[in-house]
Amino acid sequence: MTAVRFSGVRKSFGSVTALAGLDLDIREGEFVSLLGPSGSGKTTTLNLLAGLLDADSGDITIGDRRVNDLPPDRRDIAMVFQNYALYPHMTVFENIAFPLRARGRGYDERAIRAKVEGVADSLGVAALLARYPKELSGGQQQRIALGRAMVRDPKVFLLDEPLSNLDARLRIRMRRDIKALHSRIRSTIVYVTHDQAEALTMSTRIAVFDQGHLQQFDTPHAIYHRPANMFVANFVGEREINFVPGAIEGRNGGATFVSGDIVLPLGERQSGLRPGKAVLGLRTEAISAAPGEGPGVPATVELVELVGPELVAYVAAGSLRLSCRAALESGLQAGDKVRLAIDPAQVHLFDLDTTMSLAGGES
Amino acid sequence: MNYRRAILLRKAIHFAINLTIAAFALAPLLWGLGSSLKPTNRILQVPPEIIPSEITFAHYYTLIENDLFRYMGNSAIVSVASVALCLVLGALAGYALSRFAFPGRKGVMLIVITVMSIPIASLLVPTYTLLANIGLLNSRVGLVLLYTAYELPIVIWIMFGYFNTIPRQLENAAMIDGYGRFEAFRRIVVPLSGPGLIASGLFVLIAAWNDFVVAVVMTSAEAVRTLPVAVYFYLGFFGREWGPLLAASMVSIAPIILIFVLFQKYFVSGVTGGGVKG
Repeated sequence: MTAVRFSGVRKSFGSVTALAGLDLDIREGEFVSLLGPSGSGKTTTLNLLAGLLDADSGDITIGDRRVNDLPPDRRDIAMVFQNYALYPHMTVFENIAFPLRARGRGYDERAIRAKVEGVADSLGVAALLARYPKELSGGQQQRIALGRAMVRDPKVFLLDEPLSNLDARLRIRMRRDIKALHSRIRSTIVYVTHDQAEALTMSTRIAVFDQGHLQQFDTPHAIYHRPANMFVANFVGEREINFVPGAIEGRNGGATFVSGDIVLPLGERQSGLRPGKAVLGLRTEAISAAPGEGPGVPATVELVELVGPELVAYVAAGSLRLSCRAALESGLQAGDKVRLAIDPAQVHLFDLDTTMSLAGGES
Repeated sequence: MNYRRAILLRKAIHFAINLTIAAFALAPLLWGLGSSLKPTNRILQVPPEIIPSEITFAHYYTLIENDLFRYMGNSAIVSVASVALCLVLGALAGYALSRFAFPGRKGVMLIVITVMSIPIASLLVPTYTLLANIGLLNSRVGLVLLYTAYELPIVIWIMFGYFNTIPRQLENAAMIDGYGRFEAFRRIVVPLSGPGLIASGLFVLIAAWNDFVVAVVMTSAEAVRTLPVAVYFYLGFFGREWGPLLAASMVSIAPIILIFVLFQKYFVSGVTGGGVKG
């Protein structure tokens, strides 16, 4: 069943188009991340859903109700803000109880106490109920903000970059906690983030935005391994993807990608591609560098980074600058001559003009 | 060592300068307070006694016998009503200007600022005619309306600035939590605007409590006479009796000084803005 639907939703601020006709269907119980750089339209989408902004045109539905003309308090949603937006003049208890005290909710004091304490217990903040927000750490404030959203059972949870103010360690832990929370309560969650790692680790599906346009809406696996276009391929992933401009040529009865020293016979799935100009997309892990002579593309190491279990080498191959992986034992250093091996299963091909994916990646 | 001595010297100089300024400012007040407690024959004595050697409350009793409490009551009613009206209207207007983009918003702001710069004296004749036409001359209601009209722009201005320092996300959170715009304003914004409300309330209170010009023009009946006007009439009534006059002056400034001392820390933070931290 559809929990949230955007149909042809547009929003402009003056002459700036924030959202250029969005169509998006979010199913009940899904954890959907809206991912994109700043100004991509992801936060606008969330604010439109929350009722904090009005759409210029198009329909927004929550459940089976069109909500375009409903104020935020009548949309049955809960939201966690980036800076938590805890009410500074209320204790933690009063903050969490606040949504329950809204008119027409009909909770008596005993029910409110029971609910607040239940939520506080489940988030491990029961000891903080008498404190004020300014007496709490960032992580604790974060949990209280989550608690305030959880205390009633809204149709949809909206989370606006809730982890971006936390330090790296805590962010990873909260990521896990939120995911566990979602699998427990099974509510629909719409989660805005510019951090691709957050989106990949937590979501059931990811909507990638750029310049007001939805670029791709799919599972994390598909977003990572079958990016729809060059923007998605580049934005998702720990490092920038390597783009290699070149051409597809028909050789030996199959398609082959050629660019300078790189001659890459394409696999079965790409064999049907017509000859012509194309861009090859290679993630760092698709290229491995090894020292010495032998087959592969010759290159020179410019910089080496240690990333835990292996090395990442930045190399120059002709006029190309590429990032690739190398074994820890190889002991690569700047200036070393290496050979690059490309894994044909992990290549992406894009149209040079439209930037759209031609085919590629693992299925 | 030299460095420390230099600092000490500088502190001493600062202290001396401040003391001199304070003495200049406080001298008339202290003389007035002291003299209001002296027997009549010692008030004009030369050289003057700063601290009276003999204390009497006779001048204050004289005031009480001459309707002091009625005038004080009038002043209190008019001032408190003006403060209340100004705060309600000013907070709502300031909030609207701070939060909503409506047509004419800039025009309203311009009017608010312009009106603040018009001297009250230049408005006396038109407002007198106005009050006369609507039958509110010689009434406390008339005074309250005039004080509200004169002081509302500054209240709007202070509250507008103060609301701008309160993050909108707090109201957005409240609205998503199930409260309408007005409820979010009442439960979240107003409780966080204490210093702004106190600062603007003090402005109105001081203006209304101390006002002489408007009150003396708009009222003549003794029943609605306010304290500053009463002090002026005591001058005619008591002639050269400085004792009761000084006592009346002290009574009229004491409440304001007391309130100001109690709330001065809010006054500064309210006018300079800065509501929610962290």
